[in-house]
Amino acid sequence: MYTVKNVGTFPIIIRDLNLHISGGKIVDLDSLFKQDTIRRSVDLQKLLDKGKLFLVEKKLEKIKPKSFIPTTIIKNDNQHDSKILTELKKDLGEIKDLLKSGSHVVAQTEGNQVEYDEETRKKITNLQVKNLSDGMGKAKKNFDKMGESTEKQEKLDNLLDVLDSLEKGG
Amino acid sequence: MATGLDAGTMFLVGSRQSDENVQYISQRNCFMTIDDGEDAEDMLTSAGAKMVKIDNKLNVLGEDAIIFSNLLSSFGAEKATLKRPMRDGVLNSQEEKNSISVLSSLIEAAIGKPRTEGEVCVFSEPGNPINSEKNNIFHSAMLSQILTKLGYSPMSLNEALAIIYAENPKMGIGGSEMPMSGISMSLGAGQVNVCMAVRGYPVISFSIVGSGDYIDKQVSILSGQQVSNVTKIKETKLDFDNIDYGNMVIAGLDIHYSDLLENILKNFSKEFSKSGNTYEFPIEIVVSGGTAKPNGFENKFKEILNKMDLPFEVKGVRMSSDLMNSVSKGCLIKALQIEKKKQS
Repeated sequence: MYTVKNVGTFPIIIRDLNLHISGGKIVDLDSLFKQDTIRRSVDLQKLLDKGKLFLVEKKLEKIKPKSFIPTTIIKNDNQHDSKILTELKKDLGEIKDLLKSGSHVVAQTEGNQVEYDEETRKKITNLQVKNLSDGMGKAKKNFDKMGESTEKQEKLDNLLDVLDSLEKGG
Repeated sequence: MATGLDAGTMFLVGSRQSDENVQYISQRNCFMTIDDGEDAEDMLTSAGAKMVKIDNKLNVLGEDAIIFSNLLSSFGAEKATLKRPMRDGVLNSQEEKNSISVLSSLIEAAIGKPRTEGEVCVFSEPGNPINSEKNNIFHSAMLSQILTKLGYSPMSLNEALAIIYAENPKMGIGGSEMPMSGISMSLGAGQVNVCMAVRGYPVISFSIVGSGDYIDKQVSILSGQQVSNVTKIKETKLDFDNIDYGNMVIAGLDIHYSDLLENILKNFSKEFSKSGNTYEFPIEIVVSGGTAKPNGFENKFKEILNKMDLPFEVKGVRMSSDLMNSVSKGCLIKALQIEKKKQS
């Protein structure tokens, strides 16, 4: 009865159900919660009223478990490269060069999921990380120290000696 | 100088050595974001909230985020949701870019700025999970980048291997005991990390997604109670030596803990058999992490262990000397070893 879709790109949190729905994701609430729990959810109702979530006809959009989706392997296909690029939405120039240069293997599933080999994935990840951290805003904080501090008398030298001796084959 | 960092889903724990002492600083790994506005900033500042302002957004950090999120939500503030930069043991890629800047601030609060140029910081990383497609490449790369930007020389260390370094389990009997050899299990909020090491070298390591947070959520569904309430009961009332089966939450927690522990031991046995190794000596098991905190946990673990048919002999089970700080301590030991090598 309650299968909902987050129509936006940003995640939505239904606080009183303690549920996090990623942007564009469809979630079957019936399988997660009891019906009366769903009906009591004030936040769900608010999100439905505001149009941030909408109810999905189960017949129209079936949710398939990912593991049942067959995977096909396709090598260096332009169409799939552009899917990776769209998915990443990062520095397209650099990633395009990366994909052109390698003999990466791309797998695509019916659910439009794309996969690539370990080395390409590591290179793309490093680019993502670089781009993300370059774009990190400058933080202005209003404190010097925070958190709970505890001090314990512990002799680490013995453990260090054991590690050293094991490394030297002792 | 060297520093250790346990980058956990629920807590970030930084550690440093000073003379014969080790100082640990623990931060709740969470935040709450609200749009900048004079009223909001004034209100939060006068209430003493610790926060960082990033791109016109106010981010209340750590323990304060929990307090103010609860407070503002009770007044109907819709956007006062508590967020976590990490989920299931790795960076929460569903959160927006803002969370990476916030995580950087939280890490800086836990370990401070480097005391020397390029100070070594060893941080914990989870093993790749056997029950999820998630992997830790992005997580480790991002943490390395954050630490590099803070001025550290970062290096990652498997979370469960860090416990081996901190607790020094031994394999064997009598005079023929091998140090840094045994099985370690780190039961965190997001994942369970498991490692078997022989003479400090990891021979089996993996993680399982679904630990303390997962248990809380499952018990919340079956009992109809809010997750935060289940967590509170788990932290304050759960005692495995004295289970009240009339209490739906307590009984649910007991069942789900049994299930989790069976799952860990079954999966370890599977990986152990797959490795093809055999050991003639009994193996010690060390358990650590916040999810192992409830009273009577050690007995519960032993009870489940005794029911299992394992492909190796168990020498004994012990809880780590400090459930919340062991991973950070192991990271610190590795960091000190690297610094020592650099200087020699």
